[in-house]
Amino acid sequence: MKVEEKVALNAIKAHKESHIVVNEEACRACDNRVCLSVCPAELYSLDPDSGLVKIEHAGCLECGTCLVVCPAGAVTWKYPEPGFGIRYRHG
Amino acid sequence: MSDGDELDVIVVGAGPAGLACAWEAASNGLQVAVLERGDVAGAKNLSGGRLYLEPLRELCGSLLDGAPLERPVTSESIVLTDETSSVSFRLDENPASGPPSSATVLRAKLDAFLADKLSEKDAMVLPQQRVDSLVRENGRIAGVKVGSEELRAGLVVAADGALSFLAEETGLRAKRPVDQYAVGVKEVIELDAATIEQRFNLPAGQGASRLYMGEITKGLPGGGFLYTNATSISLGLVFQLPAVREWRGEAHLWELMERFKERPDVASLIAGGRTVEYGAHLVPEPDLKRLPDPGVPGLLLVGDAAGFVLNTGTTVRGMDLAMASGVLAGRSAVEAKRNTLEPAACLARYRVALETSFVMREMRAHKRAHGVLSMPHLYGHYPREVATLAQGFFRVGADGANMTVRQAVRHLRKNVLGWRGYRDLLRFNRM
Ligand SMILES: Cc1cc2nc3c(=O)[nH]c(=O)nc-3n(C[C@H](O)[C@H](O)[C@H](O)COP(=O)(O)OP(=O)(O)OC[C@H]3O[C@@H](n4cnc5c(N)ncnc54)[C@H](O)[C@@H]3O)c2cc1C
Ligand code: SF4
Ligand code: SF4
Repeated sequence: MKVEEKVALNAIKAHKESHIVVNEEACRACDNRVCLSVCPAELYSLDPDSGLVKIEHAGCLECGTCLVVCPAGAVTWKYPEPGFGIRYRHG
Repeated sequence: MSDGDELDVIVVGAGPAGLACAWEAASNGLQVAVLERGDVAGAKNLSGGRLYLEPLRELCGSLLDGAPLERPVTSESIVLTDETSSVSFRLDENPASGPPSSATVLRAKLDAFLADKLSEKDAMVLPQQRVDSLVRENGRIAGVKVGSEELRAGLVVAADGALSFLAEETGLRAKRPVDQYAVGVKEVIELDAATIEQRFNLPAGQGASRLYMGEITKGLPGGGFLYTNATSISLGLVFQLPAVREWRGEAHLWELMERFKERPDVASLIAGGRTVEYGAHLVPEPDLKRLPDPGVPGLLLVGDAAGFVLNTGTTVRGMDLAMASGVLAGRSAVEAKRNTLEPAACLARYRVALETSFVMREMRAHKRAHGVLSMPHLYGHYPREVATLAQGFFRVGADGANMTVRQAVRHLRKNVLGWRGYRDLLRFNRM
């Protein structure tokens, strides 16, 4: 199973605004980039042209892993607006 | 504690900790509201799925009567894995009469059930209420802020889970220390009851638990779990975050879950099943020395917010500790109201209640588990050696030889009980 297929199984109502923002400067200087491989929904990606790290918030499982694990503290993360985000039907 | 129509208790978070707290306080006549950011209780919550009921029987009274338990666990295994095989230790108990001592659960159902129960006591969960910060007054916490609105209460209970931004705001906990967390990923795989019972060799209605260690986490400290529900299987992996941060594996973390599912000894258990949900959640991995004080005047921490989680390698416990600490916080609120105690005195009562209950007793008893379970050898070398040894015992080679006990001991001495193994053994012993 691909990760997109896995995430697509979930009930998620994404807000138009992202609840996660990464600090471009910090990411540019970062030589760890753990966010790319750790996010269980693989929502972080590296733009090969600009070299920027991007986050696609729409499939977020709200685990908070990226926030805790980023060594540069470059992730600004809050819970999505009430009424939005993931709704676990099993948990 | 409160005057006029101010609430007695505001609970932040409708997980097992917050709901048990609200139940205890409301059962004793206090005015309680539970604020939950999700659409309903349980909407944002995920666990592996085994609730230890025995320690809660007295503490929770009738709260768990009629709870949606999936299956009582009567079959347990610890499974050590290497690349080509797995070695299991398994305990099958004949189903006993009387209430089960532990059962598998799914949180969407369980949390919604607990929230419903509150209405019996005239308390309720207010959904879609995200608490943004705390209100302070005269050196104490006096309420919470939801958007621009301020809500006041005699006591605030932070039941806001592993990330607990509220505990962080008070300074009780440092900003999300990476070495105090693991992440769990989990799939719920639907499978009919008869197939589950057949595959796990279960009497009708009974359940199985399997904890995996070794190759499945590719050397990362952590492990896997499998729990049987009524008509589904909960399957997942947990990884300690410090090692994940330094990991330079060729795969994404989520791919390890796929490889876990593809192992022939796991694939055969879930074959024909349909994954219906994929989730992830943090697990606190507290170091007892750095456990926060369980509150400040006007605010008590319960459950994951307080760091009450235990992973001993053979049991994973968070929900029972969450509910127990919730009830104890609820009791402290009741005492404080009855005896018009100051907020600091209420906190002092709660601290004592925790210390004299199984919550802190267990946290202390297993205080070294976290360190021991971080030993890298547990996730590669040892499981591999155990598998090799087991293979030796069961195999007859082309030369006609089958491993003798003497050879096994020699193998153990050489590969497992070197100076390093001896040191690890000492650490185990102290655990
Ligand atoms: C993969 C995994 C496997 C596990 N396996 C087991 C197991 O088998 N057995 C076991 O006993 N434990 C297990 N645990 C641990 C267990 O899930 C937790 O310890 C337990 O859920 C803690 O309950 P809680 O009420 O403290 O927190 P939670 O259940 O996390 O509840 C916190 C609640 O607060 C809400 N909230 C958070 N912030 C706010 C805010 N600002 N405003 C409003 N609401 C807010 C959340 O939406 C949530 O509803 C596991 C955990 C994981 C992740
Ligand atoms: S988010 Fe953190 S880990 Fe990822 S690139 Fe930016 S600084 Fe590095
Ligand atoms: S919170 Fe979890 S799922 Fe969401 S972006 Fe961060 S790591 Fe990915």
